[in-house]
Parts: sequence; C-alpha cells; structure tokens
Amino acid sequence: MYKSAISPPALMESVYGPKPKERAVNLLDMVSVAVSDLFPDIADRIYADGDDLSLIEKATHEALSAVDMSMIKPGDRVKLLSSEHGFSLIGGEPYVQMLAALRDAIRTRTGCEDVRLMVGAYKGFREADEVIAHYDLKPIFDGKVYGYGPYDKDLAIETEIGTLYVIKKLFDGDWFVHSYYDCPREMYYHRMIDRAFKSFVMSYARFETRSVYHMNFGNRSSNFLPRAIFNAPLIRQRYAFSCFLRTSPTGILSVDADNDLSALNERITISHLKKYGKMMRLFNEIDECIAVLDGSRWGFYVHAGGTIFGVLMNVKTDPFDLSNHKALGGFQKNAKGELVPKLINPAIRVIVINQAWPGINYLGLDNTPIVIVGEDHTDMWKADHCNPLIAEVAQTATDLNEAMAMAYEIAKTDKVIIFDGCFGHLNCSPSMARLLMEKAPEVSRNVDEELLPSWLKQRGIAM
Amino acid sequence: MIRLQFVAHVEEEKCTGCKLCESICPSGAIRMEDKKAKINGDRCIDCQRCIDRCKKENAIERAPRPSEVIRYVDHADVDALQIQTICDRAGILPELPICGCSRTTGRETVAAILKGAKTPEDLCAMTGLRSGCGIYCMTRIFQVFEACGIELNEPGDRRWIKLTLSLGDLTEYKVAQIDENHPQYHLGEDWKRLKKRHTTSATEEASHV
Repeated sequence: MYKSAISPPALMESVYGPKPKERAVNLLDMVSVAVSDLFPDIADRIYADGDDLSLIEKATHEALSAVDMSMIKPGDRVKLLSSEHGFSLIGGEPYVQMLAALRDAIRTRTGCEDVRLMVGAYKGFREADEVIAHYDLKPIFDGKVYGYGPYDKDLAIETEIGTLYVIKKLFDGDWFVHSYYDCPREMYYHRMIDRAFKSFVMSYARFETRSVYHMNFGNRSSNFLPRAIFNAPLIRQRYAFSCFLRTSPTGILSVDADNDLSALNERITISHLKKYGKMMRLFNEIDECIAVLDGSRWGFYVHAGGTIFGVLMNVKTDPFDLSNHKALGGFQKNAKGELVPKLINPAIRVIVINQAWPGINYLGLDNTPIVIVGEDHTDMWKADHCNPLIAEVAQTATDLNEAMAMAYEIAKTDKVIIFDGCFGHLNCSPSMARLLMEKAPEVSRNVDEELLPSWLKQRGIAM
Repeated sequence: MIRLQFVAHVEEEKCTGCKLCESICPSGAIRMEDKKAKINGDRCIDCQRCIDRCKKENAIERAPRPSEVIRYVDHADVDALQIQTICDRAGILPELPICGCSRTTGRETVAAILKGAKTPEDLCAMTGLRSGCGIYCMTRIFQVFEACGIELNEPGDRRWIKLTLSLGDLTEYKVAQIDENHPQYHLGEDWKRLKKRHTTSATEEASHV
C-alpha cells in the first residue's frame, strides 16, 4: 500500500501560462512515493513544503555567521542578485525567505541600508513584475526591488577568453551578493559542472552572451564561460560573497554561504552527484510511462521528487559521465534531409500537459504524442513559436480525465508520473510506485559503489 | 520555417510613442510615425515581444491575419556549393538548424542572406529566426553574416551587440592553459572537435551537441 497523493506547492498565475486549474492529483487516482523511502540515505533536509519558514531564516543567519562582510560599508550600495528559478523551488517561498534574511543580516552586520534585491527573468518583460507582486516583495525590501532580464543595457567585461556582455545594472553598485540556489535543473546539459557559477551567464549576462554559452561551445566546455565572467577583474572587484539555497530531491537541504565561491561549488557538486544522481539514474529505469505536466512556470522545469521533467526527457545517457562528449541525443535526418533533434526518452510514451507555460524550446518534443488539456491552453501552445511543431502532434482534451483516457489508449501503459513541483516525494500511479521502489535499491548501490566514485574523480574531487 | 496566423496590432490611442517596442522588435517590423508605433505586417513574425514590452500602456495586441502566412526562404535555387562554402566558413552545417525554435537551417539562413537580407532584422523577417525564444540563435546569425562578408553596423540603442566568440576562436595555448587548470571542462577535446568540423561528416559534426 502506498500513501495517498500529496498536494503540490501552489501555482503562480501568470500572463505567460494558462489560467491555473484543478491540480492533477485532485482529479486522478494517484499515490505518492517518498524520496526518503526510495533512498533512505539522502533523506536529510531542513525544510519541506508546509514547514515553518522561520527554519530558512534561522539557517540563513547561521550560514552567514562565518562569512566576511567587512568590505561593505554603511554608505555603500549592495545588490542581491537573484535568479528566476529560485522562485520555482517548492513554491518559491523558501528562496524569498532566504533573500529577506540575507538582506537583514547585511544591514545588521554592516550598517548598510541600501541593499537592493534584483529579480531576474528568463526573457519576459513582465516576469519580474509578476514575481515581485506574487511574493509581495516591495514591502519586504522597503521598495528596493528591481527586475532585470537578458535585454537590459549591457556592460562589456574583459574575460580571459575575450569580451563578454553582462547586465549593467547588476554590477553598478559598490558590491553584489551572488544570492542564488544550487540549480539542479538541467543535469543532462550542464553535466553537473560548476552549478554555482551558472547564473553568471544564464542570469547575469546579456542574451548574446547566453547564445555563446548555448551554441558556440560544447556542453562540457561551455561551463567555463560563467567562471570566466566571475573571474573578470571588473566582476571580482564588486563581488562580496555568495549565499545559496541548497536543495536535494527531498527538499531544502540547507542554506550555504561563503566568500569562496569555488569552495561552495565543490560542496554542491558532491551533494548533487550523490543525491540527484540517484534520482537521475532512477528515472533511467522507467521503462514506459505517461508523463503529466501540472505546474506553473515552464513545464520543462517542473519537479517530481525534486527532479525536473527535462531530466526524464534526456536521461537515456549518463550526463554525469564526463568521458562522453555528448549529453543529449544528437540529431537525425528527417525525410527532408534536415538534421532534427532526437532527444526524447523513448520510455515517455505520451506527455499530458494539464497546465504548464510554453515559451521555452522543448527539443525533441515533436517526436512524442502530446495531449493538452483545454482548448485555450492548446491554443496557447500552438501559438508558441518556441515549439512550432507541437501544432502538428498535439491533441486536445476537454479535461484531464479525457486526456488520461486518450493517453492510456496511446501508451498502453498505466505507469504515470506527475510533474507538479513536488520535492520530497513523487505523485504517480501505483504501478509506477511499484517500479520505482523495486528499482531504487540497485540504483542506490550502483551510484554509491560504481558511478559516484567515477563522477567525483572526473571532476577532480577526492572521495 | 514558421507559420503565422497572427500579427501585432497597435491601438493608437493608447500608444505614447515611447519607442520601447521598436527597439525590442527582432524583425524591424516597428517604425515610429507621428509619435505612434506602426507595424509592418510583412515583417512581423509574431514573436509577441512588443506586446510583452508594452506593459504600462498595453497598447499592442495580437490580431488574426486574414490568412496564414509562411516565412521560409527556399534554398533550392541557390548554388549548393556556395552554401556549403559559406557554412564551412561560419562553422555551421547546412542541414543543421541554427535555431532550436524555428528550426531554420544553416542553408536557409545562408540563402536568405544571398537573397537580400542585409541585417539581422531582415533575416528574421524572412525566415522567422528569433520568433521563439529570441536568444540562443543570435551569435549564429552574426557568424553567418560574417561568413557572407557582410559587415554589420551595431545599432546605437544596443538592441543587439555583434558577439561571435566561439570555442574555436581560442588559441591552442589558451585552451591548453585552461585545460591544465580546469580539466573538468574538457575544453581541449571540444576545441579539437570543433576545429575539425569543416572536414568531418555531418553525423560527426552534429554529435558535439
């Protein structure tokens, strides 16, 4: 017997996604599997959805107690650089709590009053405004809250590999604090190399620089770009310290802070390889499934057991193995002789989109049957030029139950996994729960005894 | 190739002439006339960035086109060897999309430039490039213009900055230096793979992704 499905974190309404509707777990007969039951050795956490947020505040102050803030003087201007996906971690409240506690600590310890929160956006001009309104950030930060995005005014910086462009308003204060999270999202793409640095390209840089990162380097070598930006003299002169919300598949693991970003990065790498490595390899054991997307923000990044849908899409190779130069599935020629991505995990028989934001390219999605719930929702996806081929494959259902009936008919499987933003557990069908519980012990052994030593060695980290 | 069923439409009474939409438009479809934004439907690629940008006045909306419009440049009537040569120079494959969103291939991009695109805006209007995320294909666009021998003048408002930096641009010495200090990036291995792109088979070239 498994536990009943657990309510996921609340949705954030947005102009970039469909109007929030009833959650999948309330409509489908699903169960939940706790990550701690799958992998008892990665059960540690300080916060799970619904816990007292003061735990995050306390952890932030504790983490900051060992950090040197003496460079910040009372008359200085300090910018806290936040990034968008922090607001998708367990509903975003833990990240907000960390940011608020961080601001308080800086004020108390340095006497500096001008501490500004910079709220990052992926690309939309209304994203930051929505985040600021949703979490009511203005009163929390005394009105000192500002949005930023990839099209904002640039600042040229000289790095050891050439000139790159960052967002000027992030680095025009006296100091900035790298107020981030450990970014466990795209394990397949970033190969779990230097997660702590990534936002120096993918949040703090202009869109041209982001293009260089994605298109002009390999998927391992591209990770040098954020480090090169961080090491640029102009950036280092303004860097104060880093404060991170640390996660694991079970929830918020800790708050971690350090003046030495490389040291923090190594702690994250060790933790992620073990904890997310187990979830990633467990997803690899799923032989067939219907994947249901049911979250706000981009569906690609919605979590189940703290692990995003994108990982399930791309898990058929081992992305942590740095001896393999490919992380993604590569390309194949279509009937027109054009190279098209063949990225989708063949175990995903059907994708049901109950609710998710379009607006980001899901490479390979057009190779898999998709059922979208609701006419308006379908229209939104079909009008999305990030995924133009979805219009050719997506079917529409009037409600989730009809969508699931269609999916069962296509997939011929009753194994269902729901990506609804949960950390700590996965909501899924009983058959999927059985599969995951059966496979987890061997996955755990395989990671601990064989894969993890190799992954660490490849990154120059001693066991 | 993109299929367009909508076009941006300005509600003139709401437009304040702030020009924010003009500078964000990737296809040069917006011009200011009498302090009002005017949309050129022949260039609009329905990226909706102007609608998003106009967040105070909400003066721009999507309007249905009378009929579907396709933005695609046929490469069939362009010399294949010329396309191959330019793609080689740009470090791209003719049949590989340079954009994950619109799936515009290298050869279509080259064909569009050979058929008259003089700026990134022209190229986007003709092919639908940047109609999706609008971000990741940007440096590829610059590289293809460069390979075609077209000098781009950066706009004064910094709507784009011509950045073409690529791993292949680094010197062997620099790559070796980084490799020594940070072997986890496998920079040298990727550098060699990118360097030999021009002479390897299509399958090998695409496999670095």
